[in-house]
Amino acid sequence: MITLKINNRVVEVEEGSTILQAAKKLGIFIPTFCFDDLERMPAKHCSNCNEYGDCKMCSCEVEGEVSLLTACNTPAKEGMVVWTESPEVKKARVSVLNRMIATHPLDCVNCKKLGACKLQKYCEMYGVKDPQYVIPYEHREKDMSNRFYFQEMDKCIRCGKCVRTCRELVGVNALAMAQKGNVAYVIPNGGETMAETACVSCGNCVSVCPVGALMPKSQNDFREWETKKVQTTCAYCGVGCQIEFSVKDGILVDAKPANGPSNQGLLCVKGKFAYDFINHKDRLKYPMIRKNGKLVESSWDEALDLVAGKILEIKDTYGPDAIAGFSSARTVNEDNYLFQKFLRAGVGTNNVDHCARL
Amino acid sequence: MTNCVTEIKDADVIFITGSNTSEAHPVMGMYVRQAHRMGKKIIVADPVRIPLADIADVYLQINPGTSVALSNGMLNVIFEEGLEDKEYIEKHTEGIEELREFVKDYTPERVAEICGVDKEKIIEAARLYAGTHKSYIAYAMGITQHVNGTDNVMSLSNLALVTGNLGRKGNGVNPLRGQNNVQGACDMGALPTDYPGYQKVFDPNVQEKFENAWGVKLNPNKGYTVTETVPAILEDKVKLLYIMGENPAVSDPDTAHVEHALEKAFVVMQDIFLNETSAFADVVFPSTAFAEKDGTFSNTERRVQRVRKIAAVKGESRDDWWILMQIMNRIGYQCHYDTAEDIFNEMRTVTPSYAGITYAKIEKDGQGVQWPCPTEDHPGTPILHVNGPSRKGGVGLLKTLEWKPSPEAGNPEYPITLTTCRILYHYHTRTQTDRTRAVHFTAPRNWLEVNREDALEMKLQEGEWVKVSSPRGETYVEVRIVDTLQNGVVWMPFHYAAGANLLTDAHHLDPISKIPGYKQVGVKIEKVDADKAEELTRKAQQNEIDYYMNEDPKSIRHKEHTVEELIAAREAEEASVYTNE
Repeated sequence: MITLKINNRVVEVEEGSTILQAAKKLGIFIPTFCFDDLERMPAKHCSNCNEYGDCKMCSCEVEGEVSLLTACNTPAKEGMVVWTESPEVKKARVSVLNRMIATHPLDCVNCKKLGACKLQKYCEMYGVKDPQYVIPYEHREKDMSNRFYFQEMDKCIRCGKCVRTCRELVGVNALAMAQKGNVAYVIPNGGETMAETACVSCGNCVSVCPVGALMPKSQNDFREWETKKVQTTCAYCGVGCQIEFSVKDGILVDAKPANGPSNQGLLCVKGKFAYDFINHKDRLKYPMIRKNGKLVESSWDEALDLVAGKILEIKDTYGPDAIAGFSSARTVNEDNYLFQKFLRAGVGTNNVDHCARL
Repeated sequence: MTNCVTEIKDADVIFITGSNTSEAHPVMGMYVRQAHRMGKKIIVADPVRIPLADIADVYLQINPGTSVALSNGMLNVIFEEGLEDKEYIEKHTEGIEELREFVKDYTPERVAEICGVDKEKIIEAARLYAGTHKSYIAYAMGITQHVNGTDNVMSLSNLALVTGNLGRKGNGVNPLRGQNNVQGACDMGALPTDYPGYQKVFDPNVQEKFENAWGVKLNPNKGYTVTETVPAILEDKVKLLYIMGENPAVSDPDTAHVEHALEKAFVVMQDIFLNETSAFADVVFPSTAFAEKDGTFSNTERRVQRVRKIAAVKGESRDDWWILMQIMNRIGYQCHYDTAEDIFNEMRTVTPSYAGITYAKIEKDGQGVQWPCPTEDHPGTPILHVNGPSRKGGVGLLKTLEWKPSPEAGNPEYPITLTTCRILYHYHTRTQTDRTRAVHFTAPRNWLEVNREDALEMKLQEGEWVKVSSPRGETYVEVRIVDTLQNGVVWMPFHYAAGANLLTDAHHLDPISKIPGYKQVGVKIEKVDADKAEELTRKAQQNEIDYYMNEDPKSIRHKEHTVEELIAAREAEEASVYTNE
């Protein structure tokens, strides 16, 4: 164990921890852009800044060091004295933010990311209002070529998180960082647009983007503060990914990966984007009974009585084994338990199965 | 699964067979790619050159239905070269001598012949797999959906037992289960032979236990599986079919045969949408979707996780359990539950493997609980068979398994092998995924993938319509020409109505599991004439227009535009939403 001091508070951490982890333990907030909050990828800037860009947002003052050190990848040392919000640190962060907003449109009122944008949050925290520098950069057209999300790279702050996520976590490598003059750009890797790359539309780049450069195409109209977040389990394949849904007025408007034990903050295209069915207008809303060859709306009592009557009639005439049921691998355990109990205890047959084989 | 999903990254060698992991279990596919970046070895054995084959150290493009032969061949190499784990075999298996003798016939040369791969590759795969105690087998429907599916699975278990690749972190035999809660549905006893927790219906002690718990006399005879129910209806043995959240008119083999049965029986449906099956339903109950209900799902690694009510309930739809409770009360079995948790707690009392799992425990650290979890202070079980196989006294049975060609192979009238597959964007019968516009437009209709050489031989062009037929039926699809298949093998997604399942066979099933042979169907392919092709194209376009209309009823553009223009218009419309100007 190592003991160090952050903002005059003493903390003990395990050997190999970073300053950021130590600060987190104390509940001290250090702003980050390119750092992966789930720590799935090693912090890589500084030494590899050419490749990934260099956000330097987490810079802190360490006594005895000549310059500021980045908290996300500097190991904590015995007896270290760290200041996370000293005037010098603040000055550095303001300059980082200034550099970012020099190439970022400040049209926040029209941005869908409003309220969830890290850049906006930090600019407010450090009092950054107008760009102080002029950095010439190349305007990039919006890339609408993917069906599930779009890129608006003028908003990109070059933290490189999307590139790293795609390369290191998803393993598809559909994005790349390219240097042009003094400015880096995130570009489609192996094509002019995203549609031409190997992209599998998993949307993990969209989930990690700290600003509005990568956004889902869904047309749900919502603002961050209007939503409530609830975690649940994905209803597609058997991996059991945890999803954090944003809900506005009882309607799902956005999905993000939660850090579940089996998905580690990742989702696929179905988990991230294919939830429109829940609020689809074709959803069944009333019980229906076939009359004269057509399914027509009925009351619950009428439909339930009809089915119960039919079950009893068939059971009396042909025995319980003349009734069979298909349960569902798509619904919850509780429904499945009751379904087999209904057939076994209620009807008296073991004719119950589900689509496990299909 | 014997082990955890994320343990695939802890393995030294990953053996993927019969699973298109990056398409059907995409997040696991990402882990395989991560493992590859870490320098782990990957073996892929699959008739289809799946995307992960590109990063595999050894890729075996085996002929469909030859998995048993491949495993036997690998065992042969393992025994010849003395790569087996003698200590593990001694302690934890029986039948080793028979197996050793039996696989002598499966020389790499012979297996190479059967599987259609290089002998060297079989030897290399065997050496890699047996070279460590961290070899992780991941398999899916490509192993099970054969008429000898059970043998395929047991042959993989032979491999794991002989090399001691069981019961440790990063190894095991891991079926990647397809549906979110297929593990849970099996655990809950939605099986014709099992009460909850795999307690057998024909065991008198178990029967007595459940009779006491539920307060009624129970039936000791095993019931019909899904694939047996359909013939039973046609033979007048079953009169009423109660379907909760399934779509057998698309998912079950031999659609024509299924439709006859559905027409005959009184069909009750409980679902969130009308689907192909509801054309035959006599009563339909509207139920709530996963986002509108509380409950639990058990994932492929046996982890029980919470499902939470998030969205507002639509119309008069009700939770599935509420509907079932109403029916039970009306047919004379009185019961009452207020919440899903009540049912879960009742289930715990009769299911030993779930006995220690509570909602509070699942919530506690957000990690869920992996069964078996017999008591409330038990932490759950991430890895099974830690002290040897759970079979009697920790001794696993090695089986001698003879490879037999499928009855579908070698029919001169239907010489081509069709293998059905899942794609990334769609899920099962598409009732959910097709309702997301972007998914629909990514894969709107069925297709057939054909190898380049076969296409040349049959003079097929990309996008051309063909008739695919089997003794069961026929379907018309568009051709896509690919490099991922062997000669004589074609590939079709399973998802589409009036598609692959018109061709599959409902009569030849695996004798034990009763699974149909979806991965190996004998078919023939014929070109269609120009008139028919035009008709099919028109129909496909009309479907697209209908879909667009249905999604955007205000639009009247469909009347004067082609599908391509409509799609372009839709894309422009989407783009404009985000243009600030």
